[in-house]
Amino acid sequence: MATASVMGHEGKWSFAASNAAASTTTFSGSTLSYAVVSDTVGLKDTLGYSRGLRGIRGQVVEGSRKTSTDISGTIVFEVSPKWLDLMIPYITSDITTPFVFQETLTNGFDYIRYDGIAGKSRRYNNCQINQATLSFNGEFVTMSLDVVALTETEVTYAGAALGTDITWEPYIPAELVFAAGSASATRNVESLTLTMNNNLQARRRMKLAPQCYLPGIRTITLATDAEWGSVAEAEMYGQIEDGYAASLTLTRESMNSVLTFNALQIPDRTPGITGPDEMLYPIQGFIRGTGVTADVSWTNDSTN
Amino acid sequence: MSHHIIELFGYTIHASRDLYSAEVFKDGESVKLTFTEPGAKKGDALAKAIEWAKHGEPEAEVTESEKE
Repeated sequence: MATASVMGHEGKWSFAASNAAASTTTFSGSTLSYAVVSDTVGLKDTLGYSRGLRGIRGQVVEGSRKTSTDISGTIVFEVSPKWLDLMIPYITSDITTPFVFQETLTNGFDYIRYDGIAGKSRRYNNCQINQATLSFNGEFVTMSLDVVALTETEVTYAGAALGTDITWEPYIPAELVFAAGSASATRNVESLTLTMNNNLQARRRMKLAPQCYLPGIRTITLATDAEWGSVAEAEMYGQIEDGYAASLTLTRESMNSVLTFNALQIPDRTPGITGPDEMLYPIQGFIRGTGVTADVSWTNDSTN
Repeated sequence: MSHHIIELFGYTIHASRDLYSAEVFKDGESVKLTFTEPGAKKGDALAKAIEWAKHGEPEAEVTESEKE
């Protein structure tokens, strides 16, 4: 008889705000559980090997040491209003709407992942989002979070103790409106990727593991491909260097999430003809503030 | 001047580029004007305009003196 394996569908996730460097956030049955598409966050040790020569070709255990340890990975989820409620404050380090990226990081979040082994879960403390990528190229709007954490601990939460599942339908591309160009007109696009990178820097001096993460220069880029025609050319090609305001809106019933971009700068890239099909204008844009005006302002309403 | 134009709940919201003010239009007619209060974040005017459009009724009317 085959030994039972742990199946991915047994995974379950709960998230909570982190409260301090040595977080003691309590998870309980009342904590909300969120559906995750994939999660690769985990411990990653580096085993270094000495350059010392020993008269033999083979490597020996005595020549190796653990030289660094990191906790990082990517959490992917389908974007729903409730997911955005949870994650926007951690992406922007802002706690009140309208959310704008802050200069200093919040305490981040803690989360527990139940891997399907009874009584064994993994807990990640003081998680920060290095990069958040909002995209669609298929059925659902998805978000990918590059996460770093300070500690990984094995805990005894059973899957059932990881809270009530927060059931909420994800947004679909048909609920997304993208406006850009000199006339701020709506653009129907084939795919879209918005990348918000906090460029976190690990502080690890004389330590195996990072002691904290520091915010670096933030970069926000938008890649998409708009329909190409005389109007699109007039409004999006040969733009002024300062760029134009743009926005990305997700809306369903009375719920919505609106990202307003102070300026979307689109370097010209002449679309080539690669075949008989419809021509698309490839956009690799940069979203930037002006003076002290924020690059992005983000509102989210999950109340239906 | 560049500005933000957002379609939501049957309304068209125009926000100034610096997000200090926003105006809600219905069928081309201006029906609501919002401003960022002193001390509030710049996107506050847009957030208020979106909230107004969602409920379709003013929470606090802007007086003529405030408009000026």
